[in-house]
Amino acid sequence: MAGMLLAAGFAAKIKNTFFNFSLLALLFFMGVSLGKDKDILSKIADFGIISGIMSISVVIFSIIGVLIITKLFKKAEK
Amino acid sequence: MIIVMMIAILAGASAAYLGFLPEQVLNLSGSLTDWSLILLLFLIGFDIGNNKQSMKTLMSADRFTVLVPVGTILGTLFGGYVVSFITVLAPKDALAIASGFGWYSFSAVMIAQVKGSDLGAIAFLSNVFRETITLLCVPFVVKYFGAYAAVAPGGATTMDVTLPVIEKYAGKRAAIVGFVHGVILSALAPVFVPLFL
Repeated sequence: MAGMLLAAGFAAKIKNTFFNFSLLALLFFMGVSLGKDKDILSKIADFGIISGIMSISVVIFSIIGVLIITKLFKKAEK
Repeated sequence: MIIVMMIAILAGASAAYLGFLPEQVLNLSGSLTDWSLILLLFLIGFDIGNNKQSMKTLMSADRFTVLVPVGTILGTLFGGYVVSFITVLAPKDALAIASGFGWYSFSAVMIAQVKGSDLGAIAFLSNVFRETITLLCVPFVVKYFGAYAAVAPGGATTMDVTLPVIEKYAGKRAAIVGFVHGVILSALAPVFVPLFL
């Protein structure tokens, strides 16, 4: 709501600085949480495989989802 | 930026793993993460509300600007659900990861906060891979499935990182749809991710 009330691009530089700072802080502490786990090295390969499967699956099914929904609406129009 | 973000995670993980951080920092990491997340969510909301151009584009665009995001959301959630049958992920966890819609920074920290750093790391990698796959596959998807289908893989990233590729290979009309698609999914990711956690 604050964003809608203020002029477009309001305090853009400060906002970007805060954004980058909070994002990097979050990622750093996420890394800290990962590093606290001493079994992390053995888990990394599993993480990569699961992430690969997840990304391929969502890419394929999102394409299928858009194809189906656009075809359905084109058919309904005809 | 993605390299800086990866360095941030690696630096945090290495420092904690090798014992470079004092015990107090390790104990405080939870509350520091909470405050960073609150600040990040405020700035995301501010950015969406303050971007008048995206609001105007959203109002003036054609019906595909609504249909394509709906297809992407349904397909992405189904794709995430399917993964829970192939891997060790629980259905709700898989849906939460998929609901990041490619927004790796946000979804990873949100999921790590609630479900732990292991799932957060999987969310981060999955969404980074999604963005990378999008950059590589857009030309092929345009050729075989059409311009609008090429918008889907990018998820929330179609308003920034993957938009130039979409514009180059799928054209200006798909780029407008892609931009609005990215705005809608970026606005919905903070709603969908907590929904499955």
